[in-house]
Amino acid sequence: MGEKTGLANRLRALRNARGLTQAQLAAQVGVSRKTINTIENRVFVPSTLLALKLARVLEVSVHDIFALEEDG
Amino acid sequence: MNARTLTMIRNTSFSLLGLILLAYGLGVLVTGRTEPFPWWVTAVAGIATAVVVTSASLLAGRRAAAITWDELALEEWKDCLRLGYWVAVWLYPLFAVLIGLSLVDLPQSFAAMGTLTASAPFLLFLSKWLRGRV
Repeated sequence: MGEKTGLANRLRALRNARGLTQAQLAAQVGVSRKTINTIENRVFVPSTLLALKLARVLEVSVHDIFALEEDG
Repeated sequence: MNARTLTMIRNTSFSLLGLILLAYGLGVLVTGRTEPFPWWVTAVAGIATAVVVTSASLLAGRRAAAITWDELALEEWKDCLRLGYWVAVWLYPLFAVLIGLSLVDLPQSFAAMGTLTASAPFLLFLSKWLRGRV
């Protein structure tokens, strides 16, 4: 791990739009702040389960958050 | 106890264990003795790590433990185990050369390889901690 993942995401923008800090979003989803940070920085690809939890908390679809890099 | 404290306890415990095991392994190579310090120190350190991390997790509760061992942490730990496996594998040819050159004997190799192999995943975890990954 450590390299970019090829999975684009809009997590930071969506989180900021809802006025949430990384720590607040992490607490709502049930993961560490570092996990949110590494997803936003495209270092870590979350599981489907975590992606769905993020989408639920942010009230968007998974496709609104994540996209393949060539699509995003 | 919150997840942040539990994470700190886990990371510190793992790091100390890795450093103790490394000290023993390097101690064997530097001093030429199979027991550079009492062998049971490594055993106690391993058991203490398990007891401390487990007890802290129980005290912190299921939610804090789940956050501490979320999928990023588990992935990083698995990464440490994967790299630790290759460290263990490469220690064999390394020590074969050292024995071939009469720099160490078999009892020293046994003591050093065992502790260095065990230390590898924990030291890799420490390196991830220092890089802010866990």
